[in-house]
Amino acid sequence: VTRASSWLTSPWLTIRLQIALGVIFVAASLPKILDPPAFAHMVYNYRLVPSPLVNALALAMPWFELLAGAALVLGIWKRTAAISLVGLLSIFILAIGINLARAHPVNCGCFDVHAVGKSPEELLADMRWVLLRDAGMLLAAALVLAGIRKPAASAASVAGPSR
Amino acid sequence: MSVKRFVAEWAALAGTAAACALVSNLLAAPQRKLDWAGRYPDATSVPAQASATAAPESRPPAAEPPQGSTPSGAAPQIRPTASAGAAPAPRKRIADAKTHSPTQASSPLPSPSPPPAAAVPAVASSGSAFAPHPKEPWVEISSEQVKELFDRGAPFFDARRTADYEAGHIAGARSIPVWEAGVEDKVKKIYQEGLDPSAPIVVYCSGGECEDSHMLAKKLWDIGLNNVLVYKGGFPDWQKRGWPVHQGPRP
Repeated sequence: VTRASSWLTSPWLTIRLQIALGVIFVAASLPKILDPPAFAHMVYNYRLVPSPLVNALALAMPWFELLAGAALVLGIWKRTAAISLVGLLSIFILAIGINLARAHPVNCGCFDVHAVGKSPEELLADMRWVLLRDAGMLLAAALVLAGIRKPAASAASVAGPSR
Repeated sequence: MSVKRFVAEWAALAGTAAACALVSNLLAAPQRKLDWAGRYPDATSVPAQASATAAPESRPPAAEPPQGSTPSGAAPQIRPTASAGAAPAPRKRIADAKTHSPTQASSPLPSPSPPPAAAVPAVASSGSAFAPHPKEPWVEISSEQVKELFDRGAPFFDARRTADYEAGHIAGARSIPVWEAGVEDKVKKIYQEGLDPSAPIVVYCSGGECEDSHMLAKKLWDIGLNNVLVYKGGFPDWQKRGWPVHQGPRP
């Protein structure tokens, strides 16, 4: 068990997760940045954000995703960036979860800001997958954080014996 | 890492994000631009499932526009603040505090005498009876009724995105993309044109699940237009029937 947990937080894994997460967030941010009105529509469809904040969120959040993702890829401020991703992913999970619970079908708007012509049932099924995916990414972000938290000495001792 | 450092770094990230958003929105093409403060009906209430598409929407207090806090105490806002149960809330006469100064106590509407509320069918029946419906933001009508109004020369408004409009729209329809910046100005312009409030007006978007036409209808109803009709089939239906279509940025 300890071996598994130390492998999960080993730099070998967490650095890969860190870069993968960063790339995913950068990729997800671009369509939203390129078409704010379309993303505002997505945000509105969730029916969770108060009217005056819909547009401001649609304008600013994608840039935050981009910056936090880029920081992770580049390894700058990675702990702050990883915590930010944990926060964002928690919000996404909550937003999808609430709408799933009240059976309100929404287009995810995660990577694509244009509504796909799907039936409500298909959308609800998609939302369950999104929930799972976000949970996986949340776990990855938590591992990245745990890897950063681990002191350099113990990280070396984990990497040591395998060589 | 100290909490202090985290807060500082996070604030730098968020601040940079906000600054980037500000600049990119300033530089964006008009059709990619978004107003920072949006005004949406029912932003936090879940719409009823497809069964209630024809019903007028109720307006919860959460959907109040951000301009509610006007300092002028003497300004009577005609807009009701609370929705009265299930009954359709009384309409607000002044749509936009930005558009019309709240100090104007008298109604700035062209204000012809309101049409008689009696004998107004909830749904425009077939034939040429398109009676005004001041109590409902919109009424949905069939393709044939839309065509009839088209032939009569009724004004048409296209709620879709500019790119969709330019790719093809109902001949003569004007573009008011509800999701793009400047929608309030366009609505204000229509208000200033002083259209006959009880004359039929058709709004449409892409049909199907598209709700943009309803959102536009609500905005037009808010400026006092009593006969906004939603073409539920929208542009795809129009195109399918081979009725007149124009392309490009002009109606």
